[in-house]
Amino acid sequence: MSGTALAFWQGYRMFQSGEVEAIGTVITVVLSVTLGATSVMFTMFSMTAITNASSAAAELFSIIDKPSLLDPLSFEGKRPTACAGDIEIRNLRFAYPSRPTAPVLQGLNLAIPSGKTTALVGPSGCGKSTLVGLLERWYQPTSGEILLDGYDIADFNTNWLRSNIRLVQQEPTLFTGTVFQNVAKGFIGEQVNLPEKEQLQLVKEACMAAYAHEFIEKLPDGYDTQLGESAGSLSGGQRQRLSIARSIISDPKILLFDEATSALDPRAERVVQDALDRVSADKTTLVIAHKLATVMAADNIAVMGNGRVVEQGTHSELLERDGLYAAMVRAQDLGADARGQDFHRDSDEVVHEDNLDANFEPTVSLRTLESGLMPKASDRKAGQLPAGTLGYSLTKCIAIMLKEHPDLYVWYFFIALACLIAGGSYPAQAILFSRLINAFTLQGSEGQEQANFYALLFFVLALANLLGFFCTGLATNTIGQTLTHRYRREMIERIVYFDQDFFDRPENSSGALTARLSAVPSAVQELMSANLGLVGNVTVNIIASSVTAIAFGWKLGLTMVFAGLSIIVAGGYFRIRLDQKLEASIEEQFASSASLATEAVASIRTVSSLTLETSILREYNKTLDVIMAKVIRNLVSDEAMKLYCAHTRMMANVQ
Amino acid sequence: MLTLGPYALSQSAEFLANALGFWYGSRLLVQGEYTSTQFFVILIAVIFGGQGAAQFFSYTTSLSKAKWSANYILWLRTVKATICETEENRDRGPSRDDVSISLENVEFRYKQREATRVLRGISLDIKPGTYAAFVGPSGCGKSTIVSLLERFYDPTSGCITLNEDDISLMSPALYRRCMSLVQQTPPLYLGSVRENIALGLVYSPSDEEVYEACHQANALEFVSSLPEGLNTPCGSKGLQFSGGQRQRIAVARALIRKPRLLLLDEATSALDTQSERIVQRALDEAASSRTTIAVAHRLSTIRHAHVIYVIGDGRIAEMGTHEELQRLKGRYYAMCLAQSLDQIQ
Repeated sequence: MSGTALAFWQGYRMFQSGEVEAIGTVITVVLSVTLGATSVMFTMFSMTAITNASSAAAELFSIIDKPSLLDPLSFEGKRPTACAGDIEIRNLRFAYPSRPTAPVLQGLNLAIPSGKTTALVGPSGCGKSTLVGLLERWYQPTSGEILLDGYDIADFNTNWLRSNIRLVQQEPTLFTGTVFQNVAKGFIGEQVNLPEKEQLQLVKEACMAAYAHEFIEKLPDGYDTQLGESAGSLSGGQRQRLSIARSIISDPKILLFDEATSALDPRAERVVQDALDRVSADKTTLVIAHKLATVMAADNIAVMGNGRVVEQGTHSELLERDGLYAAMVRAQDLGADARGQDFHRDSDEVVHEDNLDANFEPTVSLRTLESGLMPKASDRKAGQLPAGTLGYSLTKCIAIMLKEHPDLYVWYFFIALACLIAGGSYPAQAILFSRLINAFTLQGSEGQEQANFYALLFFVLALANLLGFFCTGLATNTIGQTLTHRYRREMIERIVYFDQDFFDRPENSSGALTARLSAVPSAVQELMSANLGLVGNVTVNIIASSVTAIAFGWKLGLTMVFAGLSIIVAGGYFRIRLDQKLEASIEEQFASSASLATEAVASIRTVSSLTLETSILREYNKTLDVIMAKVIRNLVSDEAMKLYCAHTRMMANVQ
Repeated sequence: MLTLGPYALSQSAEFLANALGFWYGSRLLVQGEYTSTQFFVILIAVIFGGQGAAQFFSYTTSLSKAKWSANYILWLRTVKATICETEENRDRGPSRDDVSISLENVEFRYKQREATRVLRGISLDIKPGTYAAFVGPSGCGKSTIVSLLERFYDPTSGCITLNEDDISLMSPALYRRCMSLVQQTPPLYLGSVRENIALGLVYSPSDEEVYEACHQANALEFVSSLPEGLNTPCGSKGLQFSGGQRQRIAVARALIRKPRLLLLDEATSALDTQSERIVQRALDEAASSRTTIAVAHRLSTIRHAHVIYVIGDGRIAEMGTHEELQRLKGRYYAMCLAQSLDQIQ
C-alpha cells in the first residue's frame, strides 16, 4: 500500500513534468505494480511448503543413495539346485554396528549337521538370537565364517539362502489377508505360478503338518477367513502354527526356531511344540530356547556363554558332565526324565487349546494401527460415533468457549480493533484511489497538492494496516498459545482420571488418544484465535465496503453489492472448499498405500526371512499406480477447468 | 463433473462482477448521473473488498474439523469416571494394618464385551498375611480378578471387601496406596533408576529407603554396579536393561511403597529361568510379611502358596494347597503333569 502511495506521488510528478503523457499510463503502472506485488506476496505462503519439500527431498535422496550392504533383491551369488543343509560355524565374531564396543559373539565354533536337530541354550543376552540374524544374513559377521555345504554363506544368493533357511520367531507376524494368502506367502520360485487349486492343496498339506488344519476348518470361512481385520480372532498358539505352516510350505532344508514357543502359555506351547517336532523331522534344525524342556530331545545341545560355546553333547551326556547345563536343568526343575511328556501328545489337548484360547491375544493388525495413526479418518466418521461429540453447532461451541476465558478478553478487544482497521482499509483504499485518479484531471499546483496529500494518506493507511495486522498477529498468537496450553492440560487431566472402560474402547487406543491430544486442542485453538480474527476481518470488510459503495451512489452501489460482491465472495469460498476436498481425497487414497508400507516395515524381519521383498514392492507399485491414475484423472479435469477460467478472464478483459 | 461447474464459476466470479460494474457504471456515467469519482469509489470498494474477503477463506482451516474438536472437548467434560474421588469417599481408606480380602459372589463382564460373563460368581476369603494364588488356562478370568482388586473396574454384581469394608465405597487413591501391583512387563519411564523406583510415592524418599527397596528386590547388586548407580537413566522404556533387571526395578518400585497387599500378575513369566529365579526369590521374601495375591501360569512359582484357587470358566473349580490339590487328581493335577512338576512334592 505504501508502494501504491509512492507510485502515485512519483506518477503525478512525472505526469506534471510531461514525462508521462497519459493518465492511463500512470494507472496502468500503479495497478500492475500493486497487483504484481500482491501475487508475489501470495507466493510467500507457499514458501513454507517449498522449504519443507526441499528438506524432505534431501532426506529422500540420502535414503535412495544409501547402498544396501546385503541387498536381498540382487541376483548375484550361487543358487545351487540341491542343498544338503550342513552348516559349520568357524570362529565367528560379531558386534552390532550400533554398539561396536560390545562384542556379542567371541569366537563361536559350532557344527550343525544335516538332518539333525541342534539346540542352542544359554542365558539371555549370550548371543543365541544374534546367531539367527547372522544365519539369515541380516548382519555381516565381523570375522570368522559360516559355511553351508562347505561354502561361505556370503557366496550364496541372499534370496536363495533365505528361501532355504526358514525361520520361526517368537512372535509371528501375520499379514492382512486370508489364511490361505498368509500361508501362501511362504511359496518360492515356481510354486508362485502354480494354479490356485494346487496351491490350496499345498497350503492344506502344510497346515496339516503344522497341526493348523483342524482349527482353520472351524473358522467361519475356513481358509478364506480374513485375518487382521477382526483383530484378535486367533490365539497366540494358532498364529504360531500358521506361521510354521508358512515356513515349511516351501519344503526348506534348514529350519531355525528362535524361542518359537516361549511367548505361549503351557497349553498352547505343547501343541506348537508337537507341530515343530513333526515338521523338523529329517531337516537340519536349529532350536533356540531358554526353556530346557523343549530341547531335551535334540541330537546335540550346545550351551552358550559369553559369545562362545561352553559345552555340548546330548541331554544325558551334559547331565553327566555336571557343568553349566546340569545347573540350568536343576534350576528349571527338570528331572532326568519327564514322565508328563506322554500327557502332551494328546490330540484332545489340541482341540482344547483352540477352544479356550480363542479371542484372547489380539493380532496387531494394520487396521488398529491405522485408527491409531490417522485421526483424520476418525474425524470423518465423527458423525456416526456414538460418543465423542455433543452435536453442538459451531456458534454454540464458540460461545461456550469464549465464556470460559474472561482473562483473554483484552486480547479479543485487540483483535476486534485490528479487524476494524484492516477491514476498514478496503473502502478507505477505494476512496483514496478514486481521489488520486481525480487529481490527475486537475491542473497545476492544486493537482500537485491533492496528489501529494492523497499519496500521503495512502501511506498513513499503509501504516495503520501494518499496526492492525501486527496487533492481530500478536493477539491471535497469545490467545492460541494460552488456549492450546489450557485445553491440552484439561484433556490430559480428564483422560487420566477416566475409568479403565474408556481405554478399552477400540477408538481410544493409546495411539488414537495421543493423536487427538495434539490435534484437538490445536484445531480449537485455531478456531478461537486466527479463525475468529479472520471472520471478524471479513465481516468488517464486507460491511464497510458495502456501506461505502451504497453511500456513494445507491444505484450502482446496491447493484454491485448484491450482484457483484456476493458472487465474488461466494466464488472465493467455493474455490477454497473444492481445493480442500481434492486434497483430502488424494490423502485418503494415499493412506491405503501407506498402510501397506507400514505393515511391511513393521514386520521387516518376517518379510525378509520369507523373501517377500519383491512381492511387496510389486503390490506397493500396484497401489501407487491406481492412485496415480485417479489423481491424473482429477488433474486433467482440473487443467480443463483452469483453461476455461483463463478463457473467461480474457473475455472479461476484452469487455 | 458436478463439482466442476461451480469450481469454474468460482474462478470467473471476479470478472463477472467487474463486467457488471463497468457496464452499469458506464451507463450511469454517460447519463451524467454519477461522477467518475463516485463510479471509481463504488467499483473499487466492491471489487477490492470482495477480493480481500475471498482470499481470507484460504487461511481458514477446516471449520468442520474445528467443530468436531470443540465438540470433542465439550463431550469429554460430560464423561464422568465412576471410580474416582468424591466428596463422600475422600477420607475413606482401608482401616487396620493387616489386610484380609473377601469376594462375595462377584460377577463381571467387560463393557466392551457385554455378552461374555468373565467372572460368574466368585466367592472367597483371603486371610491376613497369607499367600493366595490363582491359576487356570488363559482367558479364564484370573487377571480380571487382579484388575477388580486394583479397582480398575468395579464388579458387575457382588462386592469385594477389604477388612470387611466395601472397597467400592473407598477413595480409589487411598485404597490403591495400600497395595502394589507387579505386572508381567512393567513399564519403566524416562528418568533415572531412582525416579523410576520412587514413582509411586507421595514424598521423595531418602537414599537409604531406595537402597533398602533395591535390596529387597534383589536389585541392589546390579544397581550399584551401574556406572551412575541410582542416577543411571533408564532410557526409553528401560530397554537398555535386560528383562530381569527391569522386573527387579519394578519390584523395588512396588516394595518401596511398603504395600500391605501385594498383587503379582504373571510377574515372572516373561523372564528367562535365571532371572526368574532371582526375581522369584525377591518376591517370595516380600510376600512373607504381607498379604499376597498372585496370578501365574507357571505352577512352580506358586507351589508354596497357602491357598491355590483353580479358576475355570469364571468360577472357582478347585481350591486348596499344592498337596491337597495334587491328591484331588483334578484339573490342578493335570496342569502339574503337563508342566512336569510331578517329581517335586
